[in-house]
Parts: sequence; structure tokens; C-alpha cells
Amino acid sequence: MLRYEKQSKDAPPWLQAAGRKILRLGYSDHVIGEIIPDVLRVIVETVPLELIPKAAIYLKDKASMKETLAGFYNFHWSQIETLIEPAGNPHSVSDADSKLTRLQVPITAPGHEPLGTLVVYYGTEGEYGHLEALTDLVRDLATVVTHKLHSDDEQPRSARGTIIANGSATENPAMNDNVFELLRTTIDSFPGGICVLLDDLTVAMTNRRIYEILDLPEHMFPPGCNFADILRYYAERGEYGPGDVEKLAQARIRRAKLFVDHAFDRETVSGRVLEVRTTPISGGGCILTYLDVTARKRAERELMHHRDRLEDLVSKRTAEIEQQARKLEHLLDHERRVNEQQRQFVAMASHEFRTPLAIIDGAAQRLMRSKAEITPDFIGDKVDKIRGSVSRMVGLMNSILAVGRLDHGLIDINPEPCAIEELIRSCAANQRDITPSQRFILDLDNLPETIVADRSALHQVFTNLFSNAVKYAPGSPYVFIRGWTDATHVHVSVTDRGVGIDAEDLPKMFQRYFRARTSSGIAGTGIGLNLVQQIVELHKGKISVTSKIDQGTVFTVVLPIGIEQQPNSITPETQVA
Amino acid sequence: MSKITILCIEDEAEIRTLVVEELEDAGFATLQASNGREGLEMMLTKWPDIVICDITMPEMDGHQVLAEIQLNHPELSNVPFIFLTAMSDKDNMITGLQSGAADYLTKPIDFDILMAKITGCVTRIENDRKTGRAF
Repeated sequence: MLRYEKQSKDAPPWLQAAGRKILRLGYSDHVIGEIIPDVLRVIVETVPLELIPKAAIYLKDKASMKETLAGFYNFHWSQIETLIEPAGNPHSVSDADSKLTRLQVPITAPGHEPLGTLVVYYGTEGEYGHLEALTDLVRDLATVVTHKLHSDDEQPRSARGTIIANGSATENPAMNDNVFELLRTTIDSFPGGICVLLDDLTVAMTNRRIYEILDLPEHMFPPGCNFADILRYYAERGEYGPGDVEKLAQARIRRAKLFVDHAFDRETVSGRVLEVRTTPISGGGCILTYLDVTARKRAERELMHHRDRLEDLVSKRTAEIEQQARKLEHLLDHERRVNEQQRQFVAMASHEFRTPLAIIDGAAQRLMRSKAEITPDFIGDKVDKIRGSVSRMVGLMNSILAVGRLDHGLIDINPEPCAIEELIRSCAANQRDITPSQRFILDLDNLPETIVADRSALHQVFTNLFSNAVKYAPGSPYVFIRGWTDATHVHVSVTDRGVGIDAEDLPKMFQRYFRARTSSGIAGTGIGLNLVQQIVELHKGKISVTSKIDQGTVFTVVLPIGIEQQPNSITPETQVA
Repeated sequence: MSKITILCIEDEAEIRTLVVEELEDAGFATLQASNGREGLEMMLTKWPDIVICDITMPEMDGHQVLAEIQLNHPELSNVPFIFLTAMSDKDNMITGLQSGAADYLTKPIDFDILMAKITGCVTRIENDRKTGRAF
């Protein structure tokens, strides 16, 4: 019992003081789940003193509470010191000497005196897992030990080779052989290769499949050979890549001797993928398992590949759909705007045509219905009204037609030298003729003599702006018109002291048929400013507006002094945008 | 019996003068207002017998004038209030009639119909006066 002796040298005083009944045990409760679900595995090793068999491999299926024999492979070891002490209640205490926590569980059996206490010493929780799991383990152990003590009638047993199977131990060697046979069958039935190494790397036990999986000649490496030779053979075969064979082999041998609990995938020269696990055995040595996972890895790779492609495809399609949705949204938005424009147009046209028609019709009726004597003045008055209304309707029609032509790109502007100051003065004079009470304050001295522009188009621009300045400023007779110049452009501002425009309405002022809230009750089509803006833009100029409610509004037109390259018309496409 | 006075609230001067001319020709006294606010003030101060009112006007529109009368000046709510408007749509018509307008006439104006409506109103006003039912 080399292992025990080694450890007993270092055993703390309490362990030695505990006397004769010392157990050593290890357990694993996680990896085993892969082979036998929800199984708690316990290995009990006794010291050579007495009572408890030297080695016990014991499984307890938590679900069925059945105790069964376990195989050797694939479990995780942690080593815990235990000893049997006089009975007591389960409790845990810190042991100052050992810096370990001591968990005590009484060992009892129904109808018997307490037989002792199982004590587990453990370090930090992180090292041995949760206290709860540990407690469960110890309870299970205590039960086993109790059972053993009881059934074996306190007779010292042969320490070596006794195995607890199905909850009872036997000293019958034939039965023990059976148990070993069972163990071998279990190992052989494992779908991968298994190899148990002693601490000097001697191959203590293997199953047959390992030769197949590692592609090893069985006759060269029978059980009892050294694993270092296998590693060397592998290095020669090139399994560890190019380089000095002995160096490669030594590196592997050094690593193998560490007996570290770990797992990794290795690709063989023949292109297969092996999943290799090393599970250390308490006191030295380890169990190696090899699984051929080539098919699984290939499937995983394919799955990954498909997943990546699928992701690509989905994101591409999503982008396409989003783009289409945006396009549709855009179209719908456009459609809505067109409908809204249409609705506004119908409302506007119906009102704006009816008013002059009402005047014409009213005047005509009056001519017929007058009870007083019909004088030339009376007739003249009615005829003036009729003609005035007709020209109002013609103007209305012209502006509707003008935007129609603009929409279809049919309006040409013919830029030529144009006396801008004179043009503005004449527009103001025209407006004054219509509304004689209006005062236009002109400050145009800083304008150049001429700019390159379409005179009749600009005439429309200023006529519109001036008539707006008058129309939307009832009772405020002053309109200020100022002109100035910078290096490349002329600026003309038209300022009134009128009703003003809501800040909210300002951005929409140049939209077709839009009429500001403050325009309510003032005749208008909502066409003028839209037309003005389009003409200004055809000249590569700009128009802007600022306003304050009840204080007035300023429209500012900026036009290039000379137009270098003049587009003759705007296309319907630019209209839509 | 005093002369019937009719108030014409209309922002379009041309239309207003034609209507006023027709009314005066028929022998009525007239009042004129060129927007809703002015018209409302005139109703409150001059107590016209009949009101003819446009809808689309600056300051205060025709609907607002009538609503203001019904809400804050109930003593004037049985003064016949006739809309005369270019708004020929059903919504405006329903709004106007629901607010208590005596009638809703659209432009262009048919003077025969306008005068028939006025005559009807005058008959009722005169009957009311005889029976002492109103002012």
C-alpha cells in the first residue's frame, strides 16, 4: 500500500490519532452521468489495518437507490480523508491543525448500536464541490460501511481484491473472478478505447477497441508495455507533426506523467478525429479514453457551415425585405401626399372659382332685377365687376395651368440680361394700381443693373410676393422691399406687417396648395408660392421665409447674377422628390 | 312698424355690395361687415333682424360667429341666420345647419331663392311682432 504509506507520512496528527479505522475514499459524481445517468460513484480504499476491503468500487443510482458495480473509466477523482470515530450527530467543524473542514456523519444500522462516525475532511468548497453533494456522498458511504460492518460480523477480511457489488461483499474468489470478468466486459463494451496507466506509465489494462482506434499493432503493445513506447511509436509515425521524433515523444511523455484531468481533440494522420480524455487515479496513474468522433465533428462542421450559410441567406433576405418595405413606405408616402394635394386642390378650386362666378352671376342678376332706373353708371359698375371677376378667374386658371406645365417640365426659362431693379419697380407699381392704399417702400439702390434671368418668369415671382404682402396684411399699408448684392448673387427681401405664419406652418409654405392657418378667410389657391419657388429654383436661386404671428413675414429671394449653365426645364423626376 | 334691417357679413366687397344692393332695392335697411368679428360686434350692438353670412372670412369665420351667438348670446339665437357661401360641400352644410342656421345657400347666388328665404323670415318676424312673441 505504497499510496497509503506515502500519504500517512504526511497525515496530520488527528488522522494518526484516529487510530485503526481509517478509510480513504474518492468520489465522482459528474462525468459518470455520461455513461450511467445520475449515478454517484464511490471508491473506498481501506488502509491495510483491518475491517474494510482494500478496494471497493461502488455505484449508487440515486434515482432507483440501487447499488451496482461500476466500471473504471471516465470518472473524476477527488480525494477525501475519512475515518471512523465514535458515533455523533452529523455536523461540520473546522480543524485548526489541518486547516480543513471536518464533516461528521454517524454510522448506524437499524436495530444496532451506532457503529461509529464517518468523517470527511475537505478543503475549500471550490475544490470538492458543494457541501450538499458532499454530505449526500458521505451519507451514502456511511450506509455502505454500516452494511459492511454488519454483514461481515466484524471479521477482519482479506484486504486485497474484495469488491462490494450490489451492496454486499464476498470473499468467494470465484465470485470475485466473476466480478472482474464483469468489469472487463464493461470496459470492452465501451464504444471507445480505454487504457489504464500506472504512475510509471505502465499500461495496466486496456480494452480491445483501443488498438483499432489508435491504429496500433496489438502484438507490439500488449498490456504491461509502457505507454511511453506507444507515444514514441506515434511520434515516429508523424502523429505529432514534423520534427525530431525523440523530442516530440519526450514532450508527450512528460505531459502524460502529469496525470492532469483534461480532454482534447486530436486529428490523426489518417484524418480521423479522436476525443482524448485523461482521468487521473488517486495516488498516481490515470485512465485514458479515446473516442472516434470523426463523424460527429464532420457533422458539426457541416452544421456550422449550413448555419453560416443560412444566416447569410436570412440576413440577405431580411435586408431585401427591409429595402422593399422602405421603398413601399416611400411610395405610400408619396401617394398620401399626392392624395392630400388632390383633396386640397379640389377644395381650393371649388371655393376660388365659385367666388368670382358668384360675382359674375350676381352682377348679371342685378342687371335684370334692378327696380330702379338703369343708368349707364349702374351698367358700368356691373360690367366692371363681371370683367374683374373674369380676369380673376383667368388668373386663377393661368396659375393652375402654370403649375401643370411646370409639373410636366414644359416651362422654359430664357435667361437674358434683365433689368432687375426696373422689373421690381414695375411689379410694385402694378400692385399699387390694384390696391391704391398700399405703400411700397423700396430700397433697391444696391442692386446691379442687370442680372441674367427670364424677365417674365421673375415678373411672376415678384407679382406673387407683392400681392401676398398686401393680401395677408389687411390694414397694414406698408410693404418694405429691399435689394442687395454679394459677389455672385442678388438678394431681394419683401417684408410685410401682416398676419404672420405659424412656426409649424413655415416649412410647408412652399408646398403646392398648402395654405397657412393664418390665411383662413383670405382668398388664395396655395399655388403662388409653390410656383415662385420653382421659378426661383429654375434660376438656380433660393427662396426663404421667416415670420412672426401678428408681426409680419419676410420672404427673401436669392438669385445668381449670371447663370452659367442653364437647364431649360426641370424634369418630372425632380418634381417628385 | 319699423323697417326690417338685414346684416350682410361678407369679406368679398364685390359680392357684399351686390347683395346689399338687391336688399335695398327690395326696401330693406342694411348693415355691412367685412369679416366675422366685425359682423358679430354689429349683431351685438345693432340688433339686425336677419343675418346673411359668408363662411370663409378673415378674423373669424361664419361658423365661429354662429357658434359664439349660440354659446354666449342666446338672446340673439332666434335671429334668422342665413349662410351664403362658396363652400358647397356637405360637411360644411351639416355643420352650419346643426349650429342653428336658418338656411344654407351656396354661391353663385340665386337672388330669387335668397329673396324668397328673406321674405319667409320677414313674414315670421312680423307675425312674431304682432303676437308679441319677440322683442
